[in-house]
Amino acid sequence: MIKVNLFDYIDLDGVNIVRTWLDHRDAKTKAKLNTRLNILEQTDRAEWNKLNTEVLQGDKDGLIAVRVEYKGIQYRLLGYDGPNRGEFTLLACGTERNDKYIPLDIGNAAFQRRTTVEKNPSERRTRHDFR
Amino acid sequence: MILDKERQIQDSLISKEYRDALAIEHVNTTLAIQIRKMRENRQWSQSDLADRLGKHQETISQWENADYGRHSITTLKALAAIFDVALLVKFIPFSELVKDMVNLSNNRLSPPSFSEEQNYAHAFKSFCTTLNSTEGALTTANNPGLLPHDIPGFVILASTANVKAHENDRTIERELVHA
Repeated sequence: MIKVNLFDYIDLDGVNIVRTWLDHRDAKTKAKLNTRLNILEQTDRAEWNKLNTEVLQGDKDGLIAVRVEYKGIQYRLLGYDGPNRGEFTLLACGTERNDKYIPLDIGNAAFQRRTTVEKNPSERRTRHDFR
Repeated sequence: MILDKERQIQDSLISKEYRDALAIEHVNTTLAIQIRKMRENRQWSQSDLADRLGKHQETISQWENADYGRHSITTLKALAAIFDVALLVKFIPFSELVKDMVNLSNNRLSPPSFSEEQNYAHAFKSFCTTLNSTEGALTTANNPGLLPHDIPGFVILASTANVKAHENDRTIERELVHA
């Protein structure tokens, strides 16, 4: 059984982009998303697919989406397994509508951030903040 | 790290709207997971469970979806009876909610059925007798474990029971598996 620790991406200005994005959601949505992340962190990584996570394909190949539906809106938190074993880093947040992600460049942003994290994991990410 | 998370969640409860939502979401999500895990531990398909309840498979699929959130007490009572576990619905302080949120072990999400508990108790008694021990502790878990060779009639299943028995001055800990 492998459980993973969740990390948030920190941008070049030192801003936790996941925390910032969550703080801009209404309280109920934020509670829903943090609840799902809390459950994932305590779930065997092999069982994540049973908790509405999706291994992305195509131009987002290599990324994993945490999928949460709330009040008709499909929220997506994109991340990847790493940089170290037993870690999952959240890289970008958005929504999905009619099979399109919003923002449209969320995949590219996630890939760029992943590269940044890989180069400097100690500064470009922090443990997910559940506040 | 668990303490950090516990503190973070505790801090987040300052907002009434947020803490109300968090409590609801935690219940909704863990109920969906519990239903799926208890079904899987019994090696039932969603259709198997649906047949036992006189429901459609799609209904079970909905109940097991972490985004569903509309489980009724009536449904939960029926599920408890089918899984042969107890259902406890009660009001608790938020401090207890936070402790529950940071301690979602497999064993807590998929409790043993009554008969499993009985078998664990039987295995425990046999184990203690073998050791000539008069006291010990029994806790259940869902990790496959090794079978003590000296207790006949037990085979390895997915569910096991952890036992601690005291023999003279030493404590012996084993995982038992019921037949």
